[in-house]
Amino acid sequence: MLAGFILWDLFAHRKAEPYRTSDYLMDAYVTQTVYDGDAKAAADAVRELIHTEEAQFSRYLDTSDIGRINASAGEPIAVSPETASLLSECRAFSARFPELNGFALTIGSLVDLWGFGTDAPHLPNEDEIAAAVGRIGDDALTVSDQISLPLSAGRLDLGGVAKGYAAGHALSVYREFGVTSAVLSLGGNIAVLGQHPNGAPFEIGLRDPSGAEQELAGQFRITADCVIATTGGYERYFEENGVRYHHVLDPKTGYPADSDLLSVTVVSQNGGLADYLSTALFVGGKQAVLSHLDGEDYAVLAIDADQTIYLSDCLRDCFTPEKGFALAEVTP
Amino acid sequence: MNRPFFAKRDLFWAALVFAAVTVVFCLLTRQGGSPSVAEVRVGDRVVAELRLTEAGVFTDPALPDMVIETEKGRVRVRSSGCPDQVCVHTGWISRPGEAAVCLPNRVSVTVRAEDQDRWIAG
Repeated sequence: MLAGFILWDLFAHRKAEPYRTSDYLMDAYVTQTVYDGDAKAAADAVRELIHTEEAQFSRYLDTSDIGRINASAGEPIAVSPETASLLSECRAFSARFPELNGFALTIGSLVDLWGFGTDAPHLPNEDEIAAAVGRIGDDALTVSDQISLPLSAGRLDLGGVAKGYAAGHALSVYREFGVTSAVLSLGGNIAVLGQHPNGAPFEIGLRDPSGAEQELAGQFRITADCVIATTGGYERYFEENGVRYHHVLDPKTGYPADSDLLSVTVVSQNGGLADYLSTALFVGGKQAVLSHLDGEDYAVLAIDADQTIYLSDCLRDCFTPEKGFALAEVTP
Repeated sequence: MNRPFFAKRDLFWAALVFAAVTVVFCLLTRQGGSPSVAEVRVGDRVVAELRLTEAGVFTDPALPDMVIETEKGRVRVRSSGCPDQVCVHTGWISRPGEAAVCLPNRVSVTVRAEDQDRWIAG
């Protein structure tokens, strides 16, 4: 019996140790926890995937597809299938949600104007902002075999969707390597595959948008493959003359979104959709969230300044709020 | 009546005590000693988590002129371009809560126990 216990202790517990990696990719801290399958090969492939997509999507790299499109505005540019696919998906999201206008691919010039992504973000003057807003309009973008961006349009910026898109792709890569249980964290975007090997759902904390980095607003128990994407004004901001300016810019006004929400989280099997909607709904505010709680292929959770949480019905059984947070009773 | 120095019954009790000690030992060693990691921050932003069980050096464009080294469950700022060198002089740190801080570069290296299965969205 004693020998049996020792063997059980040695094998039952230590055998299940997952393969873990940590990297800095897409301007974000990235961790992978892979429990089964060809874990090391899968993690290596996901690392390579994110690195490749960063090299295609980052507008801060002159050699990337987006960097080349921006540098050659006015001329058609051949791009990778991944870049064409992501741009097409974004256009499809915009066509699907015409009532949401809080996301724009052509917001890059406005972001540059504010200096987000640099060491010196600052408040531009009103005329500059108005001029940059006038250049925003994704309809000007032609997406086919080649990408064409008019010279008069704002530069492309995929920052609001690229990480979620990559996280969704990662799930496919894990499956290709026989992985059935894994978690990827890509700068706060979480991709979940399967369940924990012990049979329990993966427990994913949701950051308290008004608290410190490790403080939670609640906990998800995830039982299905999905990507969890969150947008909030707390992620990146600067202060000038005592006013805080966050990085989520409203393409309609040119200023940081005057949202009545602190954060919006979207859960979907489509990582690009999750990231897109979290941005668009954050900019749209509470009314936009309340009218988009019943998505067929996504679920929404939003937190306001009163620490009230508005969430899709399908999340009620798998989300537990922390003390101090309350779930809104009525969801239209 | 002379009782033998070591009767069969004593053997039973000895085996029972040995088994109990072994079980307790296994449980304690399994749950204890979770590995530590060093959390590297620039300002409020975590730029890396270094596993202290892995020997290596870490450099990053976000950490100007700074080299961070890990080995045998400990970490140190091996070199830094900062003027005061306080972070370098802190030397090796290994216990959760210990930190090497570089104020001029707004960099901190903090040791914490590794949360094996903890993820935060947002």
